[in-house]
Amino acid sequence: MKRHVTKIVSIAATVTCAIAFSPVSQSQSKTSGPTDPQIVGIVETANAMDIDYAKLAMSKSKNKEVREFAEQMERDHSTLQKSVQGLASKLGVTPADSGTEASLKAESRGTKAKLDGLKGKAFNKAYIDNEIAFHKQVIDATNSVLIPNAKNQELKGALKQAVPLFQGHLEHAQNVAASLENSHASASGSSY
Amino acid sequence: MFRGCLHLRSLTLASAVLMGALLVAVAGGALVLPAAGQTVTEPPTFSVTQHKVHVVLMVLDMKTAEFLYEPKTLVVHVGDTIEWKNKDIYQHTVTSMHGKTLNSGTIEVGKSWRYTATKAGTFPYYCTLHPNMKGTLIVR
Repeated sequence: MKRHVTKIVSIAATVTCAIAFSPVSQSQSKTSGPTDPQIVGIVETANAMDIDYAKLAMSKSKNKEVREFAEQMERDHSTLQKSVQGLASKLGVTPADSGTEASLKAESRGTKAKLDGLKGKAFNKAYIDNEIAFHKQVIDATNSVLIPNAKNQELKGALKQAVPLFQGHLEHAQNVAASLENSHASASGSSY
Repeated sequence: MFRGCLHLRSLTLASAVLMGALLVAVAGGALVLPAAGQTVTEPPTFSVTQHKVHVVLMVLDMKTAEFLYEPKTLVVHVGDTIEWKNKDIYQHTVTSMHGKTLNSGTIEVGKSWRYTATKAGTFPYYCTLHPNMKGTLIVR
C-alpha cells in the first residue's frame, strides 16, 4: 500500500512539474514562454484534472472529511473554471494546445487509474497526498511560469488571484491529512 | 441593540410599578404633596446601553491577492453583534482556532452569519475551507 501511495504522490509531482519543466515549457521560457492562449489552456486542464480527482473521491470515499474536501474542490475549481473561461471569452482568447497541456492530460489519466485501483483508507490517503502535491506544484508553476509569462494584465491579475485559492486548498488538504493520520493512529492504538 | 430593548422593557416595567404604587397611595389617602420649597427626590434613572452591529466582509483582495476578513482585527464590546458577509465568489466559514466560540458552518456566497459577543476575550478565527484566511475578534 505504501508503494501505491508513493507512486501516486510521485505521479502528482510529475504531473504538476510538467507545467514548469516539460520540454515545451523549457523551450518556451527560453524564447517567449507560453502564450496567453496556452496559459489559459494549461489552467483549464489543471482545473479539470482536480475536478475529475474530486469526482472520483466522491464516488469512492466514505470518509466524511475526505468527501467534504472533495466536494469543495469540485465546487471551487468549477467556480474558478467558469471565471477563467469568462475572462478568456471577454478577452477573445481561445485556449490553445501545448506540450505541457498534453503532458498534464496524459499524467492525469495515469493518476486516475492508480487512484481507481485503491479503496478505503489507502484511497483516502493517496487522494489527499495527491492533492497536497498537486496544489504545491500548481502554486509553484503559477508563480514561476504562468504569471511571469502572461502578457495580458487582466489574465496576469486573474492568475495572481488564483494563488490564494490554491494555497487555501493546500492548507485544507494538509489539515485533512493530519486528521486522517490521527484517526489512523488512534485506531491502531485501540486495537492493541 | 437587543439588550437595549431589554433595558427599555425593564424601564417601562419599573415605571408601571411606580405609577401603580402612586395610584394605590392616592386611593388610600396617603398621598402627601410636597410643601413649597421642599426638595422633590427624582425617581431613579436607568441607563440604556446601545449595543452596536459591526460588519466584517469576507473578500478576495484584488491588490494583495489574499483572502481577507475585512477588517482583519475587530474590537467590540460584550453585547455587540458582528455580522460576517460573504462577498467572495467562494464559500467560507468563521471558525474559532481554539474552542468553539465562533462556529458559523458554511457561509454561502452572498449570505451572512451573525454572532452576538457574550464574553470578553481575544478570539482568533479562520476559514476551515481556506485556512490561509484568518481574522481576530477582540471583545472588551
